[in-house]
Amino acid sequence: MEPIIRVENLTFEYRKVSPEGTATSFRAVDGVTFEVPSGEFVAVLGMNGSGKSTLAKHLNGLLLPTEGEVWIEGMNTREDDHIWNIRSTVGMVFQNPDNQIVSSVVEDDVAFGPENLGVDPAEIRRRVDEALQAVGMYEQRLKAPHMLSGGQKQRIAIAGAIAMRPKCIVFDEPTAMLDPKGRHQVMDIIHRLHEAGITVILITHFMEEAMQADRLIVMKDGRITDDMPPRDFFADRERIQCAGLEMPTIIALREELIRLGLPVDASVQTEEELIEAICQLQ
Amino acid sequence: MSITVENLTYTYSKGLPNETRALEDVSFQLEPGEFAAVIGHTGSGKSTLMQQLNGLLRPDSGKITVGEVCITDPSNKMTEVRRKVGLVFQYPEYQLFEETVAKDVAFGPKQVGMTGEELDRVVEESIRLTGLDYEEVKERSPFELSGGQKRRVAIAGVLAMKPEILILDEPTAGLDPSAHRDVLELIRRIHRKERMTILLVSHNMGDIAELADRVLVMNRGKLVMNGTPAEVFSRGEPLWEMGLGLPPATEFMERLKDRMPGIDAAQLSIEDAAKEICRYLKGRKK
Repeated sequence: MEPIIRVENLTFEYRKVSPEGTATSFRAVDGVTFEVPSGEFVAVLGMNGSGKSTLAKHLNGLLLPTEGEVWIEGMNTREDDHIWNIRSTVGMVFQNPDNQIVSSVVEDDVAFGPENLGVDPAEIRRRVDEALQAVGMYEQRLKAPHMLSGGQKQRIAIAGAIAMRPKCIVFDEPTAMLDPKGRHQVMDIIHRLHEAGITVILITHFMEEAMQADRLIVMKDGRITDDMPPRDFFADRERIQCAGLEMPTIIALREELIRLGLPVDASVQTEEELIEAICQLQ
Repeated sequence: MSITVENLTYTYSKGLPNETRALEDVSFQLEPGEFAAVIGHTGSGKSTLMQQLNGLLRPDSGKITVGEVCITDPSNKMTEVRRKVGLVFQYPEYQLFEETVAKDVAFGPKQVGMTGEELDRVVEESIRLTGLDYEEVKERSPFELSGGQKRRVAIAGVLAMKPEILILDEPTAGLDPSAHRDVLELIRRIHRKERMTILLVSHNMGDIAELADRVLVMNRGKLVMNGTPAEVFSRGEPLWEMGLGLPPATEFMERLKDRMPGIDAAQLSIEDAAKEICRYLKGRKK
């Protein structure tokens, strides 16, 4: 079966012309190749400037490769004829909800995408209601977005993406600006979308969020340095350090307990497993 | 420099249908050199409080005294207040605008009349204080720098005003783990070296547990808790109800406590949590 996302040898260079007129270029993504089968939940980690967001913007044709190709369900993002199909297949949710909300009424904002696709009004109504219910914001549908909290606004932005009925949603640090409760709610929604069969690409700086994915892609200097299940990645202290990342709390605690001489198994990774392992030492 | 806040009350859109009470009878005091953190869910009034402390908003009633000066007294000049109280906004790097890093950092002190060698010296000191290599960055465009570096330049711009009180609103949001570390280190260094009074607004309970001497908890415009990190974070239940959380180590210990009653869950760091687990297990063996 054709994977939903196929990226082949993708390179992207930002070009910059200095006031003196000399052009320089910076390679933000450097020869990246990977595929994502439909329905997968992929987390992308990497330091600021490692190329994660630039890569993400290629997945629905917001950027086009300098070299290489990106196919979404077999459609090449370079072909203008496909661009609307590609954009309705892959939705995007960014870090700052304020930059994504365009209307002064919540439900109008959610309707914006399908309206632009020329969807039938009755169908738009259905989609908007469903999308708002899916993110738990139906009650707030007539409110003004600026009266909502950051977490609520982010849920509206997600509802806007859902209303497009995408097969895949790319989340670019969706929880970075949210309070703990807002973060939890957004992660819950991401899990529910994944369970409903939507392919999820989650770019994040939170190790705990990355651990919840099926697969982890780590980027450094525009390249993919690791592509494996998060369990394998987080079992390897050297890999974590090499990528400039941090150990998730549970793993840091496990390591500290081992250092203090407790016989905790080094394969323990989740909270439940660690609690179980500690209880068995009683 | 100390801060005393007495019975502060503030209402947005007063007299309009969407009138909202943002602050209600808030009182607290910070000693000179104290490091306090403010937590609260979005809309709890934290940002309104910060803006009051810097004189960007004036209260409906109540009083704020910074050092000896009552900043809520309209006869006092706000320019002086703003020099003393430096405010680092959320995502401060969006406010960078100059051609070079040195010019950007110099902008604030220049506005208050600093010139010549003194200005150069203050700019250099402030940039160094943030851990950036002065010689390397001074002539570069701030827009060429990485996210973490940009944020440090923006903080340097506030430090160059030589504030005695520094307020930081979510200074680590959106940074990768290593830039996050750098900014925390920088805050710690400023606090130690410059003996500034610091007020940190953050959603990151781990950062707060690591840095703050005191935690102020805001909920629906009211100050509902005021204590040491150990005191505040031992009250997981009410914090969760307010949409807040615990530092990661404390949260784990709370979960563990369900299975091991008697373990002391009030541990703020991974190291302390590990020690307490060892202590508890040894006690059980005897």
